[in-house]
Amino acid sequence: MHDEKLAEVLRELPVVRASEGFTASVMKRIEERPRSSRWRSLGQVAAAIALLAAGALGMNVIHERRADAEQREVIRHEQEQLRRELQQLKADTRAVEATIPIGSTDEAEVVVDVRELEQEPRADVVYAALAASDGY
Amino acid sequence: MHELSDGELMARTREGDHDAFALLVDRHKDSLVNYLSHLVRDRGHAEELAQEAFVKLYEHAAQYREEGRLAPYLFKIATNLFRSELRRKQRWGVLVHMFTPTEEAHKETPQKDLLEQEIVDRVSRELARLPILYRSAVILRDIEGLSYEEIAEALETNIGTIKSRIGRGREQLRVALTPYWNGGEHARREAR
Repeated sequence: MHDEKLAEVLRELPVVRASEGFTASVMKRIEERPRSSRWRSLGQVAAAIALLAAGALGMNVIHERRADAEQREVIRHEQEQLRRELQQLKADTRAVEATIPIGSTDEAEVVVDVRELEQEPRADVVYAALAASDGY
Repeated sequence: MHELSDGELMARTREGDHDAFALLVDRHKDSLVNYLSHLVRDRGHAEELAQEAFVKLYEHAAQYREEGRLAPYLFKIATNLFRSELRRKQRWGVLVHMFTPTEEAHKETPQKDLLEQEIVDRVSRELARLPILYRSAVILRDIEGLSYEEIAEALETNIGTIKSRIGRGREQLRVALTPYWNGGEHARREAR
């Protein structure tokens, strides 16, 4: 069977025409459509607004979470920096001379061992040091 | 108003002129119903889809841009409607036997004799067995007489694909019809 024959056979298939009231039915459907469509449009608008509101809320939450995370990161970074500085300070402190000469006599040299120092200098130690240096 | 082009009628439709749209429906209803009748093999169903396609065209009148191609645009809407419907039915697992030949679809045309009726039935049946992608392309080309370009536009693909679909569709039809065609009355009886 050739293409021409096939085309001929297909062309010979009966032509189906639209029924008598076709156009009127279409126009009736179009006329009836706006009422339902108006409600549908309102529904779509409402759904769109709800979606936008949900989206905005979601974005706000995401934004806040991101800001919190950034803040936490800054604090973590600062804490880490402070820890490193403190370590460095401790290392520096260990490296310096632990004793400070504050005076001497013929018999003795008076030094303060900073490792032995308490936060508030003890009065008896100070007096002893002063007495030694003044020759009492 | 009859002398106005499709584009001009669509422009009037956009302005709310219902008469202009009714004229458009009158102008294209027969070819659309004919195409859909061959596609779905059910005249009532074809009319329903065609009406839906026109309503969609009306709803999208604002988006329609005149390029002198209203017919392919309409065929595209109608084909998409039918394909969506098929997908929906397949999805729900209730695919009806819509391709079962119905006498009603071809009642209007008087048949010359029984043999002619037999040929028509056989060809229609084989056409209905083609996959929808091949079927729609073959109908638009061989029955509706659209150009490859118009078919490509209607079926939303390129010309190469359309030519390939038409070629394969015709080949399947040829294979199905050849024994019947060459075998004379005996083969025809057997085919029945």
